[in-house]
Amino acid sequence: MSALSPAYIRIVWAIAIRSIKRIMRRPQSLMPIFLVPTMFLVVTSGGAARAINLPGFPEVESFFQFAIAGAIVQSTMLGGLMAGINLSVDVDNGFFDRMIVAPVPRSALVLGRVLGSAAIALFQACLYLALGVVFGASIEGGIFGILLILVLAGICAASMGGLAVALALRAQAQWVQGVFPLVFVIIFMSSAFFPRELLTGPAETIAGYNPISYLAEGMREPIISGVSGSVELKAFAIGLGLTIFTTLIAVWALRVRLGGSR
Amino acid sequence: MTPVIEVEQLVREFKSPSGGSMQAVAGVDLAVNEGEVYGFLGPNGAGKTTLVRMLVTLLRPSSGTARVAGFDIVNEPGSVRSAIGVTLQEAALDPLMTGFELLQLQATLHGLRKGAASAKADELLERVDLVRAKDARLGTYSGGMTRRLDLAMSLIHEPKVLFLDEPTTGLDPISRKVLWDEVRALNHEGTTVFLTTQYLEEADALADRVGIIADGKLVAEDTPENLKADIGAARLEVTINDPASHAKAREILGGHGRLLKPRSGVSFFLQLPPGDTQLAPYVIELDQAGVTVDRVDLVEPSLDDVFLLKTGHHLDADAADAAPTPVP
Repeated sequence: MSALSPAYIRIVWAIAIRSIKRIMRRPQSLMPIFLVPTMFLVVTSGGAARAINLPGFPEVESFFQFAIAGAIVQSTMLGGLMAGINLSVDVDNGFFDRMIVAPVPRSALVLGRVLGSAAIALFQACLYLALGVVFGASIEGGIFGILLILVLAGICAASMGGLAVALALRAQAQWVQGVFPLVFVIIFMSSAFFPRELLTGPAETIAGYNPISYLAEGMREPIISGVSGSVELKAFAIGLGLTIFTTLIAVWALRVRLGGSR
Repeated sequence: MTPVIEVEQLVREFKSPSGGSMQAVAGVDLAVNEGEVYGFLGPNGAGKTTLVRMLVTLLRPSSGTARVAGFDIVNEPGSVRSAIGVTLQEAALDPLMTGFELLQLQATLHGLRKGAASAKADELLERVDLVRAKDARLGTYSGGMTRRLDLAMSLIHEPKVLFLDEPTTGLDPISRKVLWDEVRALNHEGTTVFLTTQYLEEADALADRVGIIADGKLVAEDTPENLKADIGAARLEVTINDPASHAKAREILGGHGRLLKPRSGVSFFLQLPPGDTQLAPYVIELDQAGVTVDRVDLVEPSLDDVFLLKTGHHLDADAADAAPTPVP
């Protein structure tokens, strides 16, 4: 079965749909991916409101408008992590064995979950954009900008989803859940909630090497100043590269888990 | 008869907690013929599930070879998976999905298009009598319903060979009976069934042939009737409530054969001579000696007796209570 055959696509789609249903049917799994970033958005928007007056800070309506992209990154990364947590549950209760005992291409089992994360990310991004508009933030990039943000949100979730799936295949469930705080560390060491231009020293260097910075900036620009093209393109290229890389790691992890069986 | 499962010197080693290695399956040879129900009997930890996991391509063998439906389990795993249906221990199903959704997903994994997948899901729900629960989430299903759905999922592609790993463990007697009937029906339709179980009566009721596994090795294999016939004679259970009569009864019964350790609530357990199935002479002799017999039963050899004979211990604690141990 080739990766572009209708049967392969149907399998990937079916697994993605199941991933979405699993998350939607467990309100407790929705809490961390919406509640935590929303709380963080509210707190930083209030606490760092005056930061927009710093010299060199991009021209924005409010810190809230600036931070919406950070909230989307945070939410979609946590959403991607849910793909790994749900896979851990499947591995623990044996449902994953039932799936791999079917004549299914191994890559489809991974791709389905990664795609599921990306699909949920569209919903997450829409929610935060709607929240932004409701509380007075403009989306300067208009409809095209929103579409770009949705694409980048999907890529952000998929890249994290690939990593989480790989981890779930090679480690126990508690290790996957243990990545939760790491997501926050990765975000705080990026430019998701603060402009890279104003970071100094090690923070600036780390943020420069952190791919999440570029994804956040790619989502932020259409919100605060409209679509320039170069920032979004860079975010797209880095995000897609990261997604391909983490997905390949996940496929490798599955092969290792299955002891090399095809 | 054509073998659909052929296993030769199959071994699976695992690392032991002490750092060395241990063989969960230690060189098993077996062949299962087309259309057969093969019962694989053994206690927990005997190696049943490890063998099944190798045969269904979930686990690579350390050494040895096996072919299922004509395909090598290591070199042609995809072909093996297309030919088999599997229900694993503990009905591993997603409690957040409905029965219909799970069947539809399984059908898609086996290459069916949406319309065909839905039709197949409906057909199988009907077969396992779950039509009314089709849109209920698995979390609301009883153990028996879950097991039936699990079985239905393994039938989605009409497999040639069906592997059932302890399919009735934890089920109530009625649910067990329903599942047994379904296994019989499937076998009648031509499906070869490889069934692992720790229940003697299940192997006895369903299997054409039984393999007994202990410590990773196949220690006996034949039809249940032949295995039991190897044990030979029946045994006599005698209950005498008056302890004062026990010495006399022991003397009389001991003169007729070997006394075995009786199960709880029974006074004497006598290994009868081959061919002897008469109760009356023993009861009359005891009565004439002034011993009042409160209960007497003739016990036919069971698979647990076979297990005891081949391995030196009972299949499980419950069985130990129900079957005799030789008195030194």
